[in-house]
Amino acid sequence: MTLGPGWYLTLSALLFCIGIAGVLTRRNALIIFMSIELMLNAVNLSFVTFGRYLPDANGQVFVFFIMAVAAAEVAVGLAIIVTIFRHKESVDIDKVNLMKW
Amino acid sequence: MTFNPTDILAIIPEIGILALAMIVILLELLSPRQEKLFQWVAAFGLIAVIALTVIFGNHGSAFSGMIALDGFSAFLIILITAVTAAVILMSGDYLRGTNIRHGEYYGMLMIASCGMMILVSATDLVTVFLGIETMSISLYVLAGLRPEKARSSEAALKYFLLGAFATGFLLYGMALIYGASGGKTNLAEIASAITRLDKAIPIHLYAGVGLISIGLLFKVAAFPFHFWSPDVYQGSPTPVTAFMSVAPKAAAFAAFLRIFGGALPDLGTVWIPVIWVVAAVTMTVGNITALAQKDIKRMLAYSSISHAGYLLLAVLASATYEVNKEAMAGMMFYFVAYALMNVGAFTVAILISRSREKGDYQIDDYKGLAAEHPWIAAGMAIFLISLSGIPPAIGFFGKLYVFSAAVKAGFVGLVVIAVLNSVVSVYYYLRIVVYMYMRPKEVSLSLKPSVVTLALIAICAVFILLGGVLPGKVMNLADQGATQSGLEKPVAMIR
Repeated sequence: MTLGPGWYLTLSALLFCIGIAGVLTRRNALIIFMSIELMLNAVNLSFVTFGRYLPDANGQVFVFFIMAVAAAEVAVGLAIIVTIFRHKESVDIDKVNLMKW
Repeated sequence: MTFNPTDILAIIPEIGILALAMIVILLELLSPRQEKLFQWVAAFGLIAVIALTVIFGNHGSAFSGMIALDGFSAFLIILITAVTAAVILMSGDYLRGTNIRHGEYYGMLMIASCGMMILVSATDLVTVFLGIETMSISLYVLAGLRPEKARSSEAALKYFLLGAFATGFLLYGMALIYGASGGKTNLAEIASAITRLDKAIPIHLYAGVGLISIGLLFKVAAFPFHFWSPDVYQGSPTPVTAFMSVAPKAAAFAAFLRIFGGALPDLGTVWIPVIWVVAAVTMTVGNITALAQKDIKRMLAYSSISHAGYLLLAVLASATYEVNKEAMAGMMFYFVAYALMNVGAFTVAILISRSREKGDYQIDDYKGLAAEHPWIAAGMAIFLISLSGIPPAIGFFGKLYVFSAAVKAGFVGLVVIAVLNSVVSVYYYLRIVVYMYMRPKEVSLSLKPSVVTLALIAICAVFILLGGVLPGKVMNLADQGATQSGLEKPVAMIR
């Protein structure tokens, strides 16, 4: 039995939705960040699937760019979360509330 | 797919500004504490980048259609570089009161503008993505540049989490469009692939357009994805706020116009009604919320949300072939006007807040400013009048050109809403003018403006008035740029 592209794309959409749900429901900045990474990896799966079945190499190349950018984002993001932790002794985003409206 | 050595010329401005960023960062390593030196090296280097852009501005498409240094991108690259230079010059006084390292800060500003340059010249989804991310990641760092301040860290965290979230949507949209167009990432090829699909448009293409618009609407801070921007603007170091309110917005709108006006005009029936509503709500929410603000940075943040609403009119108009070029030119002109008035207003805001004990940005601080500092108050009045779009300031003509393009494209109802909104906005802009001229002062502000600050205010004010009296000069340049970069052929099934 072979799996068609539809299966991979469905899996990718599911992973993406799990990521969104994580971002919207979790209150811990690190978990939110993990969920965002999950969304990016769902996108990677979509790109690889399209690239494999079309077939076209651009999709695969795009994934390399996404991975490199995600790595840069992790470096900056973790540094920002560390500075928040120094102020609040916590990474709960409900406590990040100095500015409103 | 062949590599042509002369393609390098199309990214000369990006190479130039990156080299300059490296030079300034290394200079700080070699001779620390020479803050004035870094500032001037950066400012003159940026003038050299502008010169390079002028020389190579007609290069056209390069790297198999990944990037195009044409009239539109050259115009916006020059604008972004000039804004970067102005922000670097206004930062000197601000930075001396902080422990930010000057060289790093200037370097990071220039790396962010490099990302914006890539973004405005991007004609392929890959380069759009790389441009947006180079810009955004540098801006996350810039927002959190004062980690000792809780507000700065908070601004950085909010900006980072929401920005990365929006990037996820943008990318998923790109992936779906890539799949639906049969493996195309080039914007022009996507447009023709969609035309070939004719009526048989797959569902994931619609989903892709929706997701990509979420990502882009976030980057330009349009409703309902604008909640991050007041907090980020308020918490960031003020020169960074001035930078964020102008340059990234111009770059993101350029990409918005290239993607929606250039690659997806055939799907206009789908996205035009959505963006129509978004534009109307964005300008209304921005203006109404700005009325209630007491902090000038937050007020300017909401004002910039409403300006994003006006600019969405240009995006809408650009999907109609006949006015595509006019909409592009209108947007380019609008950004010149917007850059001048926002840079000016933020320069004054920094100056006023530095005289306050706690360095805050209350609008009440402007009471009686005219009696003590008539020239600075006159400058601020010019910036605010221009922001509200009253003639003869340049802001009026920016609105005029964008609105007239939108009327020609048939968005009369939306233009009426936009004009009504401009009337509402007059109230909160002119409130500050009234405070400056007609209220007695409560506390004496002993301002000590440096020569650079005064020169910056004067230059912005003079150009706003000149541009208001002779808008034709700037408009001709914008027209030339748009003629080169606009749609070449009519697209089949618009509305």
